[in-house]
Amino acid sequence: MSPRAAWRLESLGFGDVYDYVAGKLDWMAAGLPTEGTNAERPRAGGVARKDVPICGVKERLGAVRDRVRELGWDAVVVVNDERVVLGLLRSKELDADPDLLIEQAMRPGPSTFRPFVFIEEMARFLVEHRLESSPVTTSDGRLVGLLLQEDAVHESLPHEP
Amino acid sequence: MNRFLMSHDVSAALHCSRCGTRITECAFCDESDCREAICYGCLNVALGQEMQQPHAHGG
Repeated sequence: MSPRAAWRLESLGFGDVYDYVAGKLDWMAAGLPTEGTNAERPRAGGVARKDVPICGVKERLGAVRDRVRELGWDAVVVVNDERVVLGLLRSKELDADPDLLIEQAMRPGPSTFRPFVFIEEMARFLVEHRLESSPVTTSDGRLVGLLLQEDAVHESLPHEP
Repeated sequence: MNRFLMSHDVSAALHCSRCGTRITECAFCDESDCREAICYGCLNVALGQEMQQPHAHGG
């Protein structure tokens, strides 16, 4: 909220008010809780798979591919020690020469999306672009999870109450 | 006036399906032959990742 709004809330008797300088979008991009009418709608960060396999740029593709497929995955996110996303390998890249280093085989700097994006929008784009998955990150690039098209489409359908 | 973005390239064959800006690759799927290509600015507005910029000339 703005500093003026924070001061106003204090004047109304709220004792624990903070001015979050980076703004509401940054707050939501970190996956932090929100309130209001839209808070219950599913978002990319809540649906993204947090258990997606990760690897480093200096690993060999063959070893990574074996590990990933043994876990039942067809994608792996390349991160650094800070868990910042550097690349992505989907099924096509995983099938390349096993002797390659990950940094030679990966899609460098893939498009990433913030956790607060509504799942209906992500599902629509993933289907339109025939993309099997997209990484979800915080605004400073740290991996939240991998959003699969099938999960996004499923979550965007109306559910029985 | 368009903000300058790295994905914009006047020599590129791909056009943003929303605003027509020439781009080298789709900002959503990173493909250079995407039929639904969208530029970085339009994508961020479409997904609510940023607000549409006010008119450059003011009001």
